Amino acid sequence: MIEELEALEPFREEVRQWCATHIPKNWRTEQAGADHHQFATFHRWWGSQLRDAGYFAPHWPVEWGGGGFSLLQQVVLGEEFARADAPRNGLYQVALYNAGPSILHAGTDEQKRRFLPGIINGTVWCQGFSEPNAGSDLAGLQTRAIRDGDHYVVTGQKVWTSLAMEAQHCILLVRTDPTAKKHKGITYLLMDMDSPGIEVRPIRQATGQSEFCETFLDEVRIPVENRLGAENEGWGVTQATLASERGAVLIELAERLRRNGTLALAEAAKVWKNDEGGSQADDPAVQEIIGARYAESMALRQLLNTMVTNVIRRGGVGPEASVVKLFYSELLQQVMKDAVSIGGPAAQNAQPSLMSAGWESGVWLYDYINAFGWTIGGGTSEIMRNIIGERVLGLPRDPEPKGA
Amino acid sequence: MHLSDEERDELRDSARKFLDNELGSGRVRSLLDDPDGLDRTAWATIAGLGWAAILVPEEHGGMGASWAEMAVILHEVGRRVAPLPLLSSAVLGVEALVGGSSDTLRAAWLPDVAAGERILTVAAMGPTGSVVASELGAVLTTSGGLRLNGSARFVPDAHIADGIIVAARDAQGAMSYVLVEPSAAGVSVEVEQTVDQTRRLAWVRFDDVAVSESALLVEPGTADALHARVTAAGAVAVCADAVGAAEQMLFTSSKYAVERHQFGRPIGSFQAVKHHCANMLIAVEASRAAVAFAVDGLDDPSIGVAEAAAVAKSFVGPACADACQLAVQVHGGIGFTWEHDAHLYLKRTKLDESLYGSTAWHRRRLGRQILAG
Repeated sequence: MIEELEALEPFREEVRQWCATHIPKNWRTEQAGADHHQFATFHRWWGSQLRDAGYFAPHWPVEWGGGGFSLLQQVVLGEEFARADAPRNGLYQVALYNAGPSILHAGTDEQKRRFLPGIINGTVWCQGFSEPNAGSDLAGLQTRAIRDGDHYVVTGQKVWTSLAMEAQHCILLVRTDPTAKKHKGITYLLMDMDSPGIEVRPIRQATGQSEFCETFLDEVRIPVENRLGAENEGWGVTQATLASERGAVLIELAERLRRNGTLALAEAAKVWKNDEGGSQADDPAVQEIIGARYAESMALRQLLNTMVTNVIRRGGVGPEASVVKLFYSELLQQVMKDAVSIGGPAAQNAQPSLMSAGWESGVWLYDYINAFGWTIGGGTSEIMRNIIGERVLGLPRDPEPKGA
Repeated sequence: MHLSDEERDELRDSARKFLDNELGSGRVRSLLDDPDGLDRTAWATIAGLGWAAILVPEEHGGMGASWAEMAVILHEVGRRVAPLPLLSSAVLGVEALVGGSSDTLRAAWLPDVAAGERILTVAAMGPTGSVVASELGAVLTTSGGLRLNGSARFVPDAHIADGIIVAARDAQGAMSYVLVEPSAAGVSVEVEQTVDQTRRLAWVRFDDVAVSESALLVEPGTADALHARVTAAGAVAVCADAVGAAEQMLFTSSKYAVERHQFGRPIGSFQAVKHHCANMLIAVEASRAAVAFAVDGLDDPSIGVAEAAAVAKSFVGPACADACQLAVQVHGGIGFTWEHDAHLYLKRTKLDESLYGSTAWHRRRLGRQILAG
């Protein structure tokens, strides 16, 4: 428990009351099996509910329509949303946590005026960073932008652009200087998804759902005024997202994992039978697994508390910040794997499910598969280990392969 | 008394500096074969620094500080695999007396314990190393005066203790806590031959030992809650020790991975080695967090001391021992020699992992609690 949270009890009560009266009781059953259009329709409505309450962009400054919430208020909000099993604000993740903060950080006043109010009012953004040949090696991206007067003309292919079919705008990384070293020739653009030359094709994922897309760009003209930061300095813009905000978001995710993962597994174990007909909950091996995952859940929660208190009390984060995403991802995957294992054939039934972040589909096997979204997305666990080794422990970088 | 974050940082820094200077690897190694395994000069200085007084209430000459401070010291001691009677006396002994209800015993012992002039320990484990009441080997009978029989094993520092607090059961399994002096008739102490030589554990036997009423820490048969508290404190203490040890091995291994070259480049540039080091860091940071959670539980019993200790023991024991295993692996051949310190840390954390309840038992306990909730 973070001591400073005690002063926020009235705020917590306010959020709890709001959750009790505003979260639809049946949203999970209604949304089970929804396609991406139905998902988007529901989330637009949910976003408007959050907007009316002032919870839509809690971490943004008030002058740009955000809640101006302190980090601790964000923590409380996340904890209460997790406790109440609120739908996630999933449709607007890129807009609120990537596009918005990057524009706030690197945008001109004019760009802020043009784009930020739209985000607050519900513009959906997608992220055009990864490419078929630029995944972990993101800086090796090849989508080419050539300057033509006051426009960039962009040609290439992006992949894993989440919900691109619903998005009005895209944050896009392009190569503007193919002769420079790979981190040095990248530019950050804000692309209107209605521009001619964009083709979006949904990718059917391993679960069968289609949340992600590949996006083909054929001589798409993007005004120079939509460039974020200087030409060839886009890489720096991507590195400026704040660790502190990730802390508050991860606290919510970790609490959802504890509840919808570890504790839900315990509930399920009471129903599942073992091969001899006994309850799985009576099996000491099952008890041991549940205890182990619970201990790890509590360690994760304390890691996040440490990260947040370091931000509040010391004005920066320590080594714990490099660990939280990795630890969360692997715990998520392990809990889901355990559930599938303990559930036996009873956990194998395919059924309509929610679009998932790895703990919310309501189907253990889908959640297990979706956990790859965390162990691969946003920096694979292997890349995260490289970062820990090189940036935290000071180990030498891998030598560049010959010819690179 | 509760220290601020800054004061706690200062405590850590000064403890680290002192231990680096006074109980470095050479000194620790010279104590491995010492029968007592204790540097009494260093202990006197440490007592002067107040490390034995942290959990002792101010009215008995202590600091009246919290577990957060105790954990800082235990972590630093683990970092140097130092042989010091802190687990035995400053943690278990003090927790037992403070948690008991005998003002007389507190007044008689705590001031000297706080000053490091006398050493206490608690015999809390049975012959198999279990802390579960039914598995204790010390038996207290009450007919015709109090008598203690049987034995306890793995008692830290019993060979140098001035008083041994014994967790004993009666024929019905009800628990009592009694304080006996090693010199009392019928008490014998035999040092266990553990592989870890940075600490001494003892096998303590009781042969019809007469116990006076005044030696009872609580009413006979009512020590369940006290035993839960004391063994939780022991569990958290060995976890804090293990995190300190693993942290030191992380530091040593990362440094070695930069310096050691093979195939014409530092071994730390190979991902296989780099990821071993990253995994050590993950283990250390997550273990530090689990200990912090448990320490909060000891300072604020509303969280539940048993759960707090079980969370720590379920995660920290194997995580930190595995980190030390990786340390030997990263060091390669040199890590397998007696000359290198890595084996001291591996043995220390393997012992930490085994004390005050096995990992599996703590996990099952947690699991059953959640399944019942």
